[in-house]
Amino acid sequence: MITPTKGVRPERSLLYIGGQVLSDLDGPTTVSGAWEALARRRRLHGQEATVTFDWFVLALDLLRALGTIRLQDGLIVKVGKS
Amino acid sequence: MEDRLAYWWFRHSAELALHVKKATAFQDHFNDVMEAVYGSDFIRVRPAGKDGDRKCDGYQQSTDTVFQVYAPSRVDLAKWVKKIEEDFAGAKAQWSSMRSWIFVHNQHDGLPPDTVQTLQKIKTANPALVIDQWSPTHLLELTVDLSEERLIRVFGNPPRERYMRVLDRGDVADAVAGLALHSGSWTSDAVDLPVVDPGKLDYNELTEYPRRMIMAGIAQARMVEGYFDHNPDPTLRDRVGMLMRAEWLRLQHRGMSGDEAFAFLYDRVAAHAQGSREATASLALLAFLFESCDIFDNPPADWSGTAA
Repeated sequence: MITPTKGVRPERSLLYIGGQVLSDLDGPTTVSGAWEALARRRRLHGQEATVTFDWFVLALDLLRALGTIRLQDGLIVKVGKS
Repeated sequence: MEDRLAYWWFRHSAELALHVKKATAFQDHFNDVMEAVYGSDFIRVRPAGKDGDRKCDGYQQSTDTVFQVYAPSRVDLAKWVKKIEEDFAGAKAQWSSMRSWIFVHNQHDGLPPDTVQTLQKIKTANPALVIDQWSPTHLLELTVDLSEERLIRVFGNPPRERYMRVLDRGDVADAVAGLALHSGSWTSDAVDLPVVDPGKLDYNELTEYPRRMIMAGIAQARMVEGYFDHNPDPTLRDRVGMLMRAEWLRLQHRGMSGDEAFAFLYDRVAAHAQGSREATASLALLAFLFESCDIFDNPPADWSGTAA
């Protein structure tokens, strides 16, 4: 589920979704803002495979575990960018 | 029969039942077929009290035929002569109306000479009676001309071409739900997506009807894939694949033939199918898993054989 498997295509894997979230994280944003940005990006790329909110939250967990994002004043920020 | 997919499924089910069913299950199948063919003319006989079945597993009223069914799980042909002699003597003594006695067996490769000689002796010693033996092929032939309604009574609801054309993701959802998946059984396992080898059907020694059914089901493989892509749970596809893979490996370990394994796996998916549309969705799901190599093996790269 973190990386693609036989049944989890790449654009549905947590690592890929985490990458998409990071790409749109230009500044501090709310969880809802990040969620909406992800939905916009996936629509733009014609990625129709369903991503639910809880799956998106798992992707955020992964990014946090990897040390690439943190929570600051209730907003998500890239590590190293305040 | 207009629907080819239903026809293939019935033929496959009829052939396989005679190979797979043993002992009481074979006897029950014999009774089901006879009731479907002869209706109320045939009476199913069940054991009762201390006399059991009085050496009769079924009785045909119009011909006063006593049927004796013998389909042991483990074949010990040495016992067959004694079995035939005792069963015939018992039937003759207990069924005064008997004009015909038929020994029904599950030996696809024929009977041993001693057994044939014993039947001939009985025939010679009883010229007033019709004495015969029915092989599994005879039972198979009985089902050939059955109406679809009666075939459904014996074998259940078949998958159908007309449903295969209109299946949607909702149908696949029902088929997947029938597998009763346990989320705890899933572990992530990255596997390269294999390319389906055209020789896969040959390599797994699938015969005509299962091959035709799989090819029919594969027509909906992309729709099934779409169902998994749009399912809220991205792990569902892997869990279904792993569950069925484990089932396949278990059947393989038991030394099952390709046809038998196909039938068992189909039954596993279609366990809760209520009608033909659900049965068709089950076949589409199974064909998808076949194509994606969750079940059955791909031929080795250097394999160039073909099935019989």
